Amino acid sequence: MIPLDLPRVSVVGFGVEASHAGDVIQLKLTGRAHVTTGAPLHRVLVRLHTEAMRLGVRQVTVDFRGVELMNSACFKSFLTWLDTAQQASPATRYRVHFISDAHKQWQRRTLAALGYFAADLAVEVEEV
Amino acid sequence: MVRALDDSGRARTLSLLRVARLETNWVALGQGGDVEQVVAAMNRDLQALAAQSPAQGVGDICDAIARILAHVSAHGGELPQELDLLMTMAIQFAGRLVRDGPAASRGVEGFLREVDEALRDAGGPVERSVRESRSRERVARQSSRWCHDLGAAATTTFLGHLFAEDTLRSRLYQSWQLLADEASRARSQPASRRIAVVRFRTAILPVDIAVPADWSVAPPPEPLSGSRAIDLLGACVGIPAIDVDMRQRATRVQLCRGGTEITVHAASEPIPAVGDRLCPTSDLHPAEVILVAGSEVVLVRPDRAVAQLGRSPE
Repeated sequence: MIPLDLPRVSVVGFGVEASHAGDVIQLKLTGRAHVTTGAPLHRVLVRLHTEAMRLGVRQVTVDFRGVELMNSACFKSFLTWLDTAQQASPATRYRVHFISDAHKQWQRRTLAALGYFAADLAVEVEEV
Repeated sequence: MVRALDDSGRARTLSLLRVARLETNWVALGQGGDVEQVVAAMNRDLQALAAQSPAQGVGDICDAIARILAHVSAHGGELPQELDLLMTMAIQFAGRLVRDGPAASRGVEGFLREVDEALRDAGGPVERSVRESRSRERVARQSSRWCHDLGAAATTTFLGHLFAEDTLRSRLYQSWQLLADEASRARSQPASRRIAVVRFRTAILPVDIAVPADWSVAPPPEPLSGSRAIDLLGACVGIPAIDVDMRQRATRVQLCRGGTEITVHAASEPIPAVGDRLCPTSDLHPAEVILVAGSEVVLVRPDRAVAQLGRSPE
């Protein structure tokens, strides 16, 4: 299997675990995404699209359940990522699967809104 | 080689600059900027963006941003996390709409619903004031008023034709047809909502009335009663329901819609007819009579309808 090559995030209080299995890349986010997290998270998400295209995956799953807080700068990196993914040719586009914590309303609503923001992508939100 | 921007390119560049400024101000607010000043600056950019950007959906997104800002302002800068993120998304959405045009407008409605729900949960303003009112509602209101005025003018012309001499009568009838057709086109609604011409039998005259085509109105087997005639009048000028108590023969009803006022009342005396033309008594202007039904006469005084006909939609 071709290894997934994403930058490491070394920020206290925030973590990104990435894995690649079959035709799915999964990111698991934990902690609080705030000012100091912005740049490293942005680098991860920029690279994520490149990797998804390189590996030819059909789905990228982002597990938000462990995220306690996310500021707007970090969130904007997700918008940029989705915007980029949307611009890929339909043949190479991948699905985006968000997993949210049903007890965290901000996740449910903002992730649902992301689906509308990226209306040309197949975005699904799973509440757990 | 540097090429000069054409008007649309210039407008788009200005709009993108405004979007960028919205984003900068929003970040500044998050970093402790003066709430009043920042919100005022953002509102200025929103107004300009909504007014000047022709891109579909921009006005709607601007409205969503304005409503979130109103919430921020009302709560001294405090904002639930989801609204903060939705605001970030809304600003990016606006930029994409300006940049990519109609192709980027998919998803706007769903996104706005999420904003509505988030504001509702946060106890903020959920009325889509700007969204409905800025460009779209203004156009709809003007269109509606124009349709109404045309309908009222058509009615007046029809009334005139009822009492006119033979030569003029035919011309007024043709004018009425033109006005009714124009009102139908001006509705800018699906064909099913257009005006249809329905012929009704009254006590004295067959009467053609313009009614919305989606109304299910069957010509009555018997001559129209006064209240029924009033209902038809409502249909004719686009008023869906008229509350009138015809048991009191002197009832006067003021109908107001879209700036047009019409007075309707039941006459106390029947109006005599000669042949197929009515001969109103001296105290009644001929154009006030619309329908005759049995011994009841329904009167309409189109106070301002004709005067308004000369005003084109803005």
